[in-house]
Amino acid sequence: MTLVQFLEELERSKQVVVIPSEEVERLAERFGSNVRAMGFRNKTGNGSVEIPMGNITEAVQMLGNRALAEAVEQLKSPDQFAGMLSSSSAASQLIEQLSKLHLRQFQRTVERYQDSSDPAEVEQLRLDISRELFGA
Amino acid sequence: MPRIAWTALPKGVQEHLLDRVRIRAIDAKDLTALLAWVTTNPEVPDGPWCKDFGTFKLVGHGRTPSAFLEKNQPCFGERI
Repeated sequence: MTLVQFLEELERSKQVVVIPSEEVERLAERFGSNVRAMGFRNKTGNGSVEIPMGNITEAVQMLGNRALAEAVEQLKSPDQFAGMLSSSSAASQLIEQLSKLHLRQFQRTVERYQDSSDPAEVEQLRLDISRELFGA
Repeated sequence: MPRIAWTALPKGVQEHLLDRVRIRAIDAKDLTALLAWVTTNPEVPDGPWCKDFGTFKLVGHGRTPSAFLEKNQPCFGERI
């Protein structure tokens, strides 16, 4: 499978990596608080972090690290991601990139919320922002 | 120092913030800075405190955040 096919497959499958709360805190202790910003953080629930697989591959591509790209392509399931992070020498770069990407996506959502004139879209974006910011 | 109890923010205060964002009284970049800050699970003073995000301010007392102030309203409590 080529990288493009791999990315298309990810886009179709909408796979999400869920890192459980204990793992998030363990990684945050090692790599810093950016770990909590890598994806949607379940603030009112169990404290887990959800990262779309598409974001992971995009972040890896941005970094241009071949070894990291191969490690991500070889993931058999989303559950293996936290383990891969723990063993990768480029983990802190990937965490920082994922965190930047996630915050940029949030800012774009807020800008769309401000720009939209479609009441249904405004309502949906408001819910998305509220969920992201307040967990509700 | 205690860590912020972000989910204790009253629902009405949350909704007011989103109303202000919609009318652009609050900048998208500043709201993103708030999300980034909250995500760090920050420590806050035991007493009253204030955090300036540019187009708005967040105030609280101890671990409990209580309100958002407008850009031109003065901070009260310890600035963080």
